[in-house]
Amino acid sequence: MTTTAPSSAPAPTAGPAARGVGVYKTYGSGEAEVRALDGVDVEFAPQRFTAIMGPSGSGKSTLMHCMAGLDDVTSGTIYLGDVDITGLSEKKLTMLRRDRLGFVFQAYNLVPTLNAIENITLPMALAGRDPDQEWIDQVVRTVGLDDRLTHRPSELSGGQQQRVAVARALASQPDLVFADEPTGNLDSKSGIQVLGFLRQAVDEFDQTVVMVTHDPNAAANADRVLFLEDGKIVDEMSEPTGEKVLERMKRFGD
Amino acid sequence: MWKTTVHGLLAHKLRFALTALAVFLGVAFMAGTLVLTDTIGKAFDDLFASVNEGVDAVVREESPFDDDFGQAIRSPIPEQIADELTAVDGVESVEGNVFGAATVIGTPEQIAKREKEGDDALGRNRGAQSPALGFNWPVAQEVNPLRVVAGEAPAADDEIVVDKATADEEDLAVGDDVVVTTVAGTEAYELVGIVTFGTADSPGGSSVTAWETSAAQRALGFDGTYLDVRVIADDGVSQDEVVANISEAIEAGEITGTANGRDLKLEVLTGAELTDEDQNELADQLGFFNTFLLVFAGVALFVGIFIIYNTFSIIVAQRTREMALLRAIGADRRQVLMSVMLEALIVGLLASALGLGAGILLAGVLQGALEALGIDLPSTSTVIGMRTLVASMVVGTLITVVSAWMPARRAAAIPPIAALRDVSIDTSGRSGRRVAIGLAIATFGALGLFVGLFTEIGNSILIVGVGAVLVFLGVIVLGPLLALPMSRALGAPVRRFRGTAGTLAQANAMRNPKRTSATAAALIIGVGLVGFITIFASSASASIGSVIDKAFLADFTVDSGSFGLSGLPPELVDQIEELDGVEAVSPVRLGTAEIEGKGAQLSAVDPTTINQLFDVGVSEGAIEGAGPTDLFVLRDKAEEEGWTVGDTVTVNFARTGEQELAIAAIYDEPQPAGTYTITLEGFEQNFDESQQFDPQVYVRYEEGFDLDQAREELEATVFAVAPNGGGAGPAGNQGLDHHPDQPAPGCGLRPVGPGHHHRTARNRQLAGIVDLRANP
Repeated sequence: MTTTAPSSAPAPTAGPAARGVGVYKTYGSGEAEVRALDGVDVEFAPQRFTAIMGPSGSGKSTLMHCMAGLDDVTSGTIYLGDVDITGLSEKKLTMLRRDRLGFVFQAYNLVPTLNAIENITLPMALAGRDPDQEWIDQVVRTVGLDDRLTHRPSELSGGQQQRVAVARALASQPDLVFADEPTGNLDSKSGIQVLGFLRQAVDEFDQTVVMVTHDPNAAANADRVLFLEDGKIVDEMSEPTGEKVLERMKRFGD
Repeated sequence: MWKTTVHGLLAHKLRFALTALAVFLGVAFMAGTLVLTDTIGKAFDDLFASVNEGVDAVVREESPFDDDFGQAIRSPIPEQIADELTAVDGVESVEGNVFGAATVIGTPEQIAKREKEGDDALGRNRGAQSPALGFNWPVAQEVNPLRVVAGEAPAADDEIVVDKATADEEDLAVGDDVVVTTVAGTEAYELVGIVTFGTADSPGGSSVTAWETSAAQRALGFDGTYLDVRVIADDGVSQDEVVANISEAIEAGEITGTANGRDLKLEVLTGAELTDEDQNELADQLGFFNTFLLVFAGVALFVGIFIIYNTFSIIVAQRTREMALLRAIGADRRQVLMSVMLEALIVGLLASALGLGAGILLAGVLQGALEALGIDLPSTSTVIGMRTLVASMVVGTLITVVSAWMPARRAAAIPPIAALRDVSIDTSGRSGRRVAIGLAIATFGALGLFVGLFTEIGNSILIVGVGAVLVFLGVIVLGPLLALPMSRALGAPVRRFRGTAGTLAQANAMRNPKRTSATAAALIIGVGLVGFITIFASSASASIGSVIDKAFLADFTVDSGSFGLSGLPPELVDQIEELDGVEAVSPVRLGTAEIEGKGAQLSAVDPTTINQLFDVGVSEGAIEGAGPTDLFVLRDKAEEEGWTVGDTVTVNFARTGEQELAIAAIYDEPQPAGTYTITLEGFEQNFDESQQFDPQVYVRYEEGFDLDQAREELEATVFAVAPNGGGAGPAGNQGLDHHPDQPAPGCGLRPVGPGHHHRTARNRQLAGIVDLRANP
């Protein structure tokens, strides 16, 4: 089990940070069967910021859940680094998430009874490890929360809460950060801030970020955009801009 | 994880408080009960130890049998045994000991005043609420439980001392003349001293009167006899040594006693053994009290289980997303499980600790309540035993943790994906299995109820209890299945009349049947309990009421109103007989003898008049004309034993030993005479003088005699003989009860339910106080 102590980011020469091969995911059965993922092959390069886009019901969230080991696949294989996670036990998956992945959800990212810094260091607390204080300080400084660390989530604005969530996702220096509509509940100014931090994490801290979004402007912060439709990857785009992504999205018939 | 739990608790103080409350109440009750009974036990243990401190040995008759309470029955021993004991090696001195009933009535002035004030003042004093005890005053103060606190010890025949509580309450002072009723009659004595019992103002609320020993013997019906003899050993002689010496002397025939032509079998025990015996006797009585209260604590905790289960279920449901988030960012199932269990543990520990504290306070309150009822306890410090501490903490905490286990398991099963979805998972269980298990438990319980109620297999009370609990559990298991159709049926009208709100209410009740039924369960228990207590109380009073109405043909009952320990002097009956218009009079006297190897209560009545006073439904033989060697038996008992009229039954009396009595009559009504009845003459022959008193006397007047006049004359007579109205009744109850509307003989008889036989003098007396009213 490759439980990595937080160390430096993977060397650029390594393979993809995560990889899905022939991934199928169906819900229900018979008449009611829904094919959420229909044979997806995907790779996320390390130290890159990847956005997954697609219309509602295209399977983008499902893809992320499967890649992150939050949901199981019907067939196909998921690798995190070079570990095949499709056959892992619940317990091993939990440890994998704890030690090697970071999560930013759309809402309800924080434990309401813990203050900001306790939330940030929670994954380490769950693992029974001491956080890397220098790194934590750096992350906290970057997201600009120095003076808010002892506040409870209820005492923070939505944007501040989401910044805490980003800090928590980065706190254990994971191999990969998954962000699921991280700006979905935010006003545009806070949204831009949060995206800026994710961008910074990739550029300055050599992190790897995969983000699901339906906002073209959010996707424009990524290095690469994958487009999903009906459970299949139908297109991808490098060096995206807001207009280019919007243009592509408009081509999805609805 | 520890941090999230503690912070979570602190952030939800109300939730915490509600969960804790259930545990808190149960534990408080339990701890209160334990502390109270420990304290009472300690108080009396200390008291017995101190009052028996100077006693090195006791000689008494070896008890031939126990009464139906398990109390040893024994005969008095002749007083010459005391003299014989002084000759034994190592004996320094001896004290004869007598004990009996003695009711303090008051000063002649008080009595005259009461008489002037009318009926109501006929009787009301301490003797009414608790036993009125008579003692002798030993010469050797080492063996005297009484301590003089004012005046001096009684020395002459006409001198008495009384306990401080009675003196205070009845406003008696040293130098007063005080009228006291005993088995020997009602007489005035000079009050020469006020005493305490050990350190207590009175022993457990009883009144105490004490005489110099020979006066006590006379007053309490111990003519030339003692109840037992207490021995003080020479200095340096141990209790065991002096007991050994006395035993030797008894075996050598140097100490013998005969009573009523019978050789007494003597026993000797050490002072320490006597103390143990007293303490154990009390422990038995307290044990009952203890169990009674603990049952309530148990029920409170049982209800608590459902409340805790429910609260934690709701907590877990509310925190689904939080749990899922924790799971997503790396908490494993065990950690989530532990966080909920930890919360339960903290709640349980804190609530138990608080409950324990409250219980200790509650014990004080209960003790105060007992004192308010006139049951003074000897002073002692509150006893908080290790047992109380451990039991309260362990039971309270364990119940919380166990109740939270299922909800915690459910919390741990929340998938991390739930953090990302708006999920509401209702796993309503596999219905088939639930039905099978629920029905099996309920059926088994119902079977238990049936067996316990209608058959005679095993311990029926236990079986009924277990059956009831099983039926209850079965209903709980089936609850979620019942909740759905019941919500649908009950919700239908609501839906109809309350529109959208009604529809939503019904839908909510149906959405999670488990939750609905768990909430209902706490209520089921509550309502069940209220029902149980109500039914219990009303059937108890119904059985007393029905019994009282039916058999009485008498016009008046003179009721001693006191516990079976004391009663009216026998001379009263003779005097009532002389009154104008009296057609029939009979006392009911009570005693215990051994029949068929078991202690049994015997009533004694006047066979010549009894048929005019009660209709006990004689169905075989006749009571009239019976003599001292005749026995009358209740039909139920006769059938059980296969007895018929003419059969001989061996009855073992403490005084006279085994006697052959012939069954002269079999009667159907257990009231008022009970299972066994003998003639008054038989009672006088076979029971000690100290037991010749009448708890109740029944009087019937001639047809057409003015009953108001009768009452007046009767009252005057009763007052002259027993100025307290015969031991007095509680406030508002007169010593005299009137039965107007005398029915034609044989009328007004109703069948009696089984199992309502009066069993004891005590029950009988209380029944008499409660319900001796108009004759139907």
